[in-house]
Amino acid sequence: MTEKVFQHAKILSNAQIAPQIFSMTLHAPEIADTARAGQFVMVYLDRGEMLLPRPISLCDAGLHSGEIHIVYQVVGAGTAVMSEMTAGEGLQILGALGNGFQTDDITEQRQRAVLVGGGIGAPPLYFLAKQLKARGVSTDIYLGFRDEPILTDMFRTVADRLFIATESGNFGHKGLITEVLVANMNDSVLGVYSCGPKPLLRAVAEFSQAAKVPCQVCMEARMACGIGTCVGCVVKVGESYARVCTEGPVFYGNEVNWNE
Amino acid sequence: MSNLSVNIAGVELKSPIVTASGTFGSGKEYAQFIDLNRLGAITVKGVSHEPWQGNPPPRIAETHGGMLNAVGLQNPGAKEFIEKDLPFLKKFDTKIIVNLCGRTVEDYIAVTQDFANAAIDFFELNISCPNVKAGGMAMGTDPKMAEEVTRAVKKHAANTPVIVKLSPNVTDIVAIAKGAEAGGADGLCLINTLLGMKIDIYKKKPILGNKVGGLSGPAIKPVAVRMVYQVAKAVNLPIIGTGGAATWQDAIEFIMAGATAVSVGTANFSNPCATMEMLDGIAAYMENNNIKNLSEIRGIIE
Repeated sequence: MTEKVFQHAKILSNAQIAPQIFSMTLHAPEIADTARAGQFVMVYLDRGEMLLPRPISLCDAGLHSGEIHIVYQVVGAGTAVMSEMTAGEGLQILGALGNGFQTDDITEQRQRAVLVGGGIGAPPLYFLAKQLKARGVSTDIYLGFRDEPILTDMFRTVADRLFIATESGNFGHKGLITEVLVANMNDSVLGVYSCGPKPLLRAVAEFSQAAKVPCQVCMEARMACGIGTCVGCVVKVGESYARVCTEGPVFYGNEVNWNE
Repeated sequence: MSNLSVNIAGVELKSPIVTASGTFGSGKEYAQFIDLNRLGAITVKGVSHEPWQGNPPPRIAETHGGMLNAVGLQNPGAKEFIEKDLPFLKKFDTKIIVNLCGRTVEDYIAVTQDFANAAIDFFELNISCPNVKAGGMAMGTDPKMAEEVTRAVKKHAANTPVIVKLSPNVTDIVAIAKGAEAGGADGLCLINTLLGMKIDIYKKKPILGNKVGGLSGPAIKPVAVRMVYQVAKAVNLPIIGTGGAATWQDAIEFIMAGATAVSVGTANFSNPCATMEMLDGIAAYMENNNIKNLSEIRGIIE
């Protein structure tokens, strides 16, 4: 368990990279030092009418001089406030939170990993791919989007093979990324990692289970505290409710109760 | 140096700032951001005799100046709490308030007995949770039932003082407070959350899995201050005021309305250091206004 740090972080950059999608880097050395792929930060907005911090996955950390990188979608008033902030301003953040992806097994084997991302679920997989590549693991990365892919240039630097699908057909395969996955998955894969909307996670988890490959899914939930106290952000795992912020956000796909 | 200590039912709290049940876990989670030793007391998450699974998600919804929750008191049960969480808390120099929940009077007695040898400082009787169908709030909305369950728990609580946590979801909170007082309560904590609802207009469904949930946060503070004021005038018991307190000014307001201590809940989510900042602010306010003891301003509002 890494130490959680509550700190004021200076915004280094904040730019729109696709419709409703923004990329922000912050100077947060203590968080950057310890963060692992699959972990997230809470972003505090300091607005009276919006009480709760926003959980945002890390897209990268520690890349140079203690930076963290987050990519977020404007979905409501809170993320809209974030999108209007500029370099030089500060944000209070808490991190790095959650368990992160478990990669010990696969890195020992120096084998192939498959990463499957959907929409705004793609960014944390960049962090994971970078960590896996640094340990000599080859990655096949499958990314699905509605219309416009994001971060493809970054993913190209870490992927052995990069597959992209868009529902609109605007880029790559026209249709769902799971169709591409089924067509290209091969036997040497020792681990599947996925982040994205729940239907995608479920499809990837079920496909992996059928292929007898361990699968980890990074989940999201409405959150209040981010550190395990409020028990608000639960998903059903087995027969009981597990906290996304503490037992998760990464769970083994075969343990999640997808019908709940 | 001002004296921040307060006294509740013969137990001295070193400061008037307490954490509210369900927002502070079992204390461990916040220990790396704040100094738990500065808190007057820590109220731990609600504990029942048997484990409770809680409500289906989503359990959280943000609202203007507040939030709704419908957690449903998910907890691993008293036995696990006493073994796993309590030893950590005991390392700190602060008082421990254990929030008890149940569905029946027998449940409340059973969980009280679970703590017979746990050496905690207070019981907080949760008869006000809006997210539990039977028991919970039902017991807190009828003066006779509030009196009955308070008396039953008091009988099994030995020398541990019993604080009764009241629901605001009643027509006359003073009547419930008097019921608890008649049942032998040593103190009161008010208010619990206000029953609320939020609807997703695109999905045409309630946001919460439980459909309705408890509203907390700054949005409810004026209601809480009013109720503390009314109850403080009507009963002769120490009150822990709670409901939207997020700043030191809020805490002073509650104290002036008649509260002995102030419990901080949702503010822990919006600022993990809220309790420490409140303590600093209260001390500075006392210093600047030449207040030696908080009793000088407690219940000062006529």
